[in-house]
Amino acid sequence: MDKKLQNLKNDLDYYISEKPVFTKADKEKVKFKVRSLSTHKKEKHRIFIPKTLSAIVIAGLVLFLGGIVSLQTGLFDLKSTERTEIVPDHSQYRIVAEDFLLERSFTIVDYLGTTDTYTVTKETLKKEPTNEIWGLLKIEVDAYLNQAVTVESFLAEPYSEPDTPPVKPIQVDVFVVNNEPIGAVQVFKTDSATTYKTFWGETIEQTTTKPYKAWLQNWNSYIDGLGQTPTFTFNDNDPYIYENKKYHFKLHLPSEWKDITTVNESDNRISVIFKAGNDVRQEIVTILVLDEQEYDQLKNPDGPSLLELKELARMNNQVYVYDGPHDIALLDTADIAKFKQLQKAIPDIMKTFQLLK
Amino acid sequence: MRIHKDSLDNFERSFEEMLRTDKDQAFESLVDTYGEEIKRLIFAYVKNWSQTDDLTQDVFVTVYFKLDTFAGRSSLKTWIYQIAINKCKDYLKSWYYRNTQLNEKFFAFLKDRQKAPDTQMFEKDERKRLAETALKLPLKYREVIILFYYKELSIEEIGTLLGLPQSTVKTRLARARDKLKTILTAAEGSEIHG
Repeated sequence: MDKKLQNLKNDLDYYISEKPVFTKADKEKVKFKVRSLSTHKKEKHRIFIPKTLSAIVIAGLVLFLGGIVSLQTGLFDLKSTERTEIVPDHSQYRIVAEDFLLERSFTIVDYLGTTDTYTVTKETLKKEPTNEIWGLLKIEVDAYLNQAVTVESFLAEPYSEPDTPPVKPIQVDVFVVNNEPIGAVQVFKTDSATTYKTFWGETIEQTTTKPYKAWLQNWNSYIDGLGQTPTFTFNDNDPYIYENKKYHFKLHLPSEWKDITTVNESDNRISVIFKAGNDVRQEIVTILVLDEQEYDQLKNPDGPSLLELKELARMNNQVYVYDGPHDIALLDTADIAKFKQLQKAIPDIMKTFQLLK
Repeated sequence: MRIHKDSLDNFERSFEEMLRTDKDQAFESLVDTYGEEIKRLIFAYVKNWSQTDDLTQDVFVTVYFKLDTFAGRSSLKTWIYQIAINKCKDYLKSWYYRNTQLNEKFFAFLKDRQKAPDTQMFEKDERKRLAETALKLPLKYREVIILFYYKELSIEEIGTLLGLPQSTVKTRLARARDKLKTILTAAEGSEIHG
């Protein structure tokens, strides 16, 4: 069997396809998606600046003419001038929202107006349909907590590939915070309900690959955790201790980690791994046990090291070091947020490192 | 995880340089380098061409938007493989997949393929049967077979990618081999006697 399996590489390659499977069309689709999803800052400014300049020139002219009129009519009396309240310029929101859609290859058919304005709070983020809408935006929402968001609505046609029938115009809501568009959703209204999709047309189930209920549960706990300093308890009554008998050390892990992490031993590399949903795994931190000589080479600034190793202890010509955080390969926004919280506990965990003699 | 720069292949070395000067160009050459192997890896996981197309695009789009966070702590290849495997597992365990599975036969992907006339000969080939049987294994056995024999990764690399101890990888490989042997022997027996 082993001999046969040695040929499996060729067999599977042949079985999957004799011809290359990653085509030029695949590459073009990837590039198109990347272009569609990117915020081309440079392009945006290129589009935005002439509009801004025009606005400034027009405003200047109005002021100039107004000044002449007021001087001549005696209206320009400083004593009677009252301080006016600064009102947000919603026309500017419209401009940045339009740019956002144009950069993503939408064709704007009509502007439906500013349809909503609210402050982003944990409470609003947990209410329907705001929760689903913000889930569909696929952004880390903590940056927008307690900020005002304005919803600019458009009737627009999504991009359709050449030689395919054009897509019917749909309502697209663009969310603007501090004059910056942060994302958009597609809106579908019927007599009985309003439903939402990502701006590229996926439902919450499709984009998170979770049933709605599971997504909602994940979302609520993600929102609850926002803005909170993560607390980690090293419970002495029911300790979560990892002990390595080969390299003679132990670590005390937070009690909250018991169900969501696992420790993987791979010879001289001991990794604590985050168990995200759907059997997805991600290393949080790794302890390495290295020979002193090897470690000194790695530590040498001119040496081959690519890791920022932090030394924990030395024993019997061996050095115990740890490395983290790791490059994130997670996909779900809530998983990434959870992972980032777990990473914050690393320094405290490493303080519990103990050699066993 | 990698420790030595020496362990980088030529592409990864030039990629790091490119990434510093031109992200888009670096990304394009990354797609050229890994497109084929990632798409084949994804197919071996999901066994459906149309889903493979979507997932492959998703993987590279994810890679593009995560490139700024890629600090080179893992090798580029390991990182892309991990994203691809996570995407596949997300999909295979998804509500969407389970729903669509109800309407599809296990090996419906065969219908998607345009068979060339000469592949008729290969269908009787034992090697083809081995490949087909490997892809029929349950996911936890299939993935170690794919990563070890097809993608030629080491036990250590597979352990890192899947978040499993090396001992578990070895056990799963041994069980996967046993299962393959049992299935193939039973099939041969039924052909002789059938």
